[in-house]
Amino acid sequence: MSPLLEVHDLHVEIPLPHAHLYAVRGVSLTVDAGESIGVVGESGSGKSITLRALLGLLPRPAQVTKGSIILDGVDVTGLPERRRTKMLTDAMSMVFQDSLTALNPVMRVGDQIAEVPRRRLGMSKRAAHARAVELMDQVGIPEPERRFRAYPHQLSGGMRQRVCIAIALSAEPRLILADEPTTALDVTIQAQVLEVIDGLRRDHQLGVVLVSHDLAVISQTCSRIYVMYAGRVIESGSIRQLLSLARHPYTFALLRAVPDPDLPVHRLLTIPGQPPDLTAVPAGCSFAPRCALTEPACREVDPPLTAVPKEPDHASACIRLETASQWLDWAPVGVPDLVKKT
Amino acid sequence: MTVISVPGSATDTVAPTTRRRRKHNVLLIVGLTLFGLLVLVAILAPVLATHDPIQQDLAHARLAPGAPGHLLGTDELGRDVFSRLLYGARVDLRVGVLAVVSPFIIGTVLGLVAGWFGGWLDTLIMRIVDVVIAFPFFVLVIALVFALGAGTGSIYVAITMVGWVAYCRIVRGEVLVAKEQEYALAARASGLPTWRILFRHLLPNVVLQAVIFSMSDIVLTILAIVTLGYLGLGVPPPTPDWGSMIQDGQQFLLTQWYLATIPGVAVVITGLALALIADGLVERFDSR
Amino acid sequence: MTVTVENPSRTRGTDEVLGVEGLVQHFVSRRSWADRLTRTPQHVVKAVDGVDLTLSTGETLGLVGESGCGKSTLSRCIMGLYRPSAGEIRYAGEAVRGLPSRAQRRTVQMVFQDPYSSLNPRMTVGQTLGELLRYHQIVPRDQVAARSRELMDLVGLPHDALRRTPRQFSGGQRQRIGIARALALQPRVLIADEPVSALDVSVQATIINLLTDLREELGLSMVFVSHNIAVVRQVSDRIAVMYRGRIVETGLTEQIFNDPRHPYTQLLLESVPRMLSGAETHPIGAADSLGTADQLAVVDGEPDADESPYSAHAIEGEHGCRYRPRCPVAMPVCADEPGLLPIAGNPSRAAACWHVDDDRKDKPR
Repeated sequence: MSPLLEVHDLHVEIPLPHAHLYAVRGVSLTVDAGESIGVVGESGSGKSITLRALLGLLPRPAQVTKGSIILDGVDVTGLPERRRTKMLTDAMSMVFQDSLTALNPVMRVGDQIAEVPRRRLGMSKRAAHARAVELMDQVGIPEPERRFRAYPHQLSGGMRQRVCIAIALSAEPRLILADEPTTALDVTIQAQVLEVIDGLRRDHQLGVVLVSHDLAVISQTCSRIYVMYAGRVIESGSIRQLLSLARHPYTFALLRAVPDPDLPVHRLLTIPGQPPDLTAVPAGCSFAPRCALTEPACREVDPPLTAVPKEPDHASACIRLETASQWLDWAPVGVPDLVKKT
Repeated sequence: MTVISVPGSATDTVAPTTRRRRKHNVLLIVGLTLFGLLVLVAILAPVLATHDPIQQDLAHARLAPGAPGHLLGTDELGRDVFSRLLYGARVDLRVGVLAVVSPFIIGTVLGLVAGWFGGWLDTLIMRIVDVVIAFPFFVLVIALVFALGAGTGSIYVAITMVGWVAYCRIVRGEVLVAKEQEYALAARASGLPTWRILFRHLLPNVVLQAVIFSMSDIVLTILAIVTLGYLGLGVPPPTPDWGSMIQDGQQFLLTQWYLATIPGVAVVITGLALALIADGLVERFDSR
Repeated sequence: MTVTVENPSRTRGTDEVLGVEGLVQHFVSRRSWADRLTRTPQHVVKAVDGVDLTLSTGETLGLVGESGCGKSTLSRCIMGLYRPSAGEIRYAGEAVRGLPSRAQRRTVQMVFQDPYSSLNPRMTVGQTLGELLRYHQIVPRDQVAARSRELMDLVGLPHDALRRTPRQFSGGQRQRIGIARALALQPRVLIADEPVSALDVSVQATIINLLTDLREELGLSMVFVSHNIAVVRQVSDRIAVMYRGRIVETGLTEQIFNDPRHPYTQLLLESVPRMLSGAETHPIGAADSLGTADQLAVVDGEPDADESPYSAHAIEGEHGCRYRPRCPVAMPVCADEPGLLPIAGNPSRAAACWHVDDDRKDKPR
């Protein structure tokens, strides 16, 4: 059986007045029904652009220059634009980071949820209302009948994000794309919203693509993780594989640069420098200028994503992925002490 | 892109992300050149002019441009249009610029104070602004000039008394945003005196919008002088200014259309130069 | 980095360098004359509603809580950016009357959250620092330039940064400049208001490490405000948890993490997303106590979901424990609001909960 969604070698470029910004440079993903995958990366890594490209929501003047999107085994890339957009929007819905701007401020939230069932799915007014209330109940909004009549500003951030999820569900998609859905929320509310998304995946066999800068958030809910850097996927695998032995120096360092709530270390690892300027990507591996393990070969070729031997579904775009077990000796910046601070 | 290397620091060697900017600010250069030429022409008017601008020669009235000895022809009293145009630039640019300077300063300072301190001071200043705005601009200016007596001095005073409100509102709005920015908080936190925060930290960040507005305000002021001239309250004749030239020329629009058009073009060129400068300033200084 | 700063060497945890007592900061909505005529009641937001704090020399206090709980207002009050509605603030044992005096400003300085708006875009780094050094007469005028270069060394920036304007720097570098600006006055206390939350994850560590180093090097005390519990644990000696304008629990960092007593603290710590619970493959360190971490803490009823945009603040006219509406272990006595109650056998700890001495394992969850 073919996966729900396959993306092959996606490229997105943004023409700027004086340069071309290569925002996404060959990203491939697969999502199965009932599976949630996570895309993690820093700002500018191309993770959000990738997500938007899937739904044809790229901001002008960005455009997909290469790559294919395969939905249920059907390559939609070559289809006429209208038909392609319809197939993509029928299958996928998106949840955004900022729920306040994602909702229409002068329309009752219930009516916003009922809009798609009424206009696109052709339900009667009463049926659409009932459907909206049902959806609100599904995403865990207490007293949905009363809150149906609320305006977005009358709801708290967590409730608003639930409304956004209900709107996404109202189109009866098979795949939910969520772009930093919990970044604007408090940590206690974040836990609730993640639970809602995960519950929907379990109960309705939805596919989920979760984009976040926070690896911990991703690892809570996703079975597979794609780590993006400078517009490319540089490592993919399960959270267990990444944590037990990350095979790309960026992932490896990132895991040690972010403080762990359960394990304060004497000193965090730092990654020197900044991501490259994507208008002028240097030759070779894009992480090489910041990498402590760079060797001359790294600056010549940009290594493709390569499967890690003996580890299914684990791949890394580092030419030294086989030596990862020795990276713990990574000086001179120092691996953090494995001893708790006293 | 410049690369800053950090000697002795194990943490950060970084290429800063500077926003790409054009090396040459074409708008600003063209605008300033154009305006500079206008000012130069005004200053050199006595040298460049071919005739006395107020000397009448009824025998050679209403000559077409290109007539011998009269580059742009003559008006209905036989005065040389080219010379009047040059001398008119002196009057109009001086009055236009000067009549904008004092409202600019007064409005900016009051806007800074109102926005920063808030409270009753803000209420008081803004109520005065509301009162001034409630009157139509020209009605108020005309009333004031009438009360003060015609002449350029009265025009300055009248336009100042009416014109400052626009600057006050612009600057106050900018201050309300800027004072919540963390750099303003940081300046307060480091104990700097209020006047210093206002004029050293806030003013350079809020004044841009006021400067941009002043560019179009100069043109508006020149037009105001034209209107006042129409009512006999402007620059007293026979001193040449573009406004009275347009005014005088309009009765011959059907026969000698160029009499009103030539000074009109001068006003348009001035406006264009100032608009280019304004756009150039945005490109140069806007940090947003 | 061998920069000498005139700070007498002090030992940690003895004398009070910053004190806050009964601090209240209420914001009252502006009433128009129409409101007065119709007797519309004023809307009072109790952003900070009775806070006591002390900070010892060399100590780092982590202030955590959700957005709108008053932690930023509290830090700005301490910084002297607001005139408190009630209560007392002491800098190095000396009470601040109204707003801090010019001399008092030098004691406490602040690092702001947003590296993009916290630096004046129209001034070069050198101008920003020079102005402060001159105005406060930190060094003689002829040594201002030399001192500015020392400050650049201190925060790990090159000297030529002094000639540049903020927009030529990345977020992490700007935050270093913000730290240099705070250090220019040679403060004894640094208040860091979410200093890393606007930065990319790979840059956060450099700023956290820098702050930790500076604290050691200069003997600074620090109030570290953050919503990120992992970051707070990394840098703090002691933690204060804020909820709706009050501190609901304080204690040493390890105590709070190992044995949170207030139900809100418990929820907060359980809600933190974690990489993985299983200890077996965790290379960074064993996470043994976290058998349940995969299961996210889910408690219904976030602070008044509708009606008020100030949901996380305390509102005029409320009674009882402010956590009661969300609390899973609320009981009738909670209609009276508890103050910070000491925890038996733990002199450094307190929690504002009637359950404070319950053994945690017996508690229904």
